[in-house]
Amino acid sequence: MDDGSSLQDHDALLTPATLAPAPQAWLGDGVDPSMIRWMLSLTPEERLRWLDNVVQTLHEVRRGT
Amino acid sequence: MELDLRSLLLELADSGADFVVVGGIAAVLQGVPMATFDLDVVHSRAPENVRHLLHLLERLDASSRLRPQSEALRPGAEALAGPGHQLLRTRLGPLDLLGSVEGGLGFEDLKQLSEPFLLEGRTLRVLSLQTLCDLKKNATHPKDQLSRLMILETLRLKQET
Repeated sequence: MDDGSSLQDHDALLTPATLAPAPQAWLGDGVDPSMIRWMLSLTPEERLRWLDNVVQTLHEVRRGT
Repeated sequence: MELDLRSLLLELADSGADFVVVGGIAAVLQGVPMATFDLDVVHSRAPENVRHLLHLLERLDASSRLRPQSEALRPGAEALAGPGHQLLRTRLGPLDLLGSVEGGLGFEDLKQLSEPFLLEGRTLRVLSLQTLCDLKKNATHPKDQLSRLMILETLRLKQET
């Protein structure tokens, strides 16, 4: 049974350094420069943590948890 | 299957195997905000390196994603020494071990086109953004085309700073 601990762990990873900004100026091709600038401001470790957060979130959405 | 790509990358780095990180993780490490669900690496096909990889695959409980989980088929030394792609599931997430990529480029070629990256005390070789972009130049899949645009924009913004 899911006791919600994985979700809590996930929330714990959402430190200010890994919270992405809201899209500001999308280019016509679907690329968001503000998001890229934000990613470039992170260290490689923080970028990987961001990816893990994204992947975990999508995984949870797909599982309906 | 669990998804912990960071741990999977660190396990690979600690295995003693020579490899170049390619694909989405290489892009993310260099600042491209794209989602990816597997770790792609091009590995050295030298016998000693293949031995390191075989030990790693055992520790990761790896098996082919192209076969049912019940069969748990794991690539052997011969497969890892070839130019083909081994698409694997592991206890930490999907891992693609690539003997070569577009144009027949292998580890020794891509090593020259990669950059060292320090990650949690380990030095990794990561394929350069420009090369990632070049490899996607003839891609027709919309996902690859969008990835290429994001890489191009990231390269442009990097030059600005």
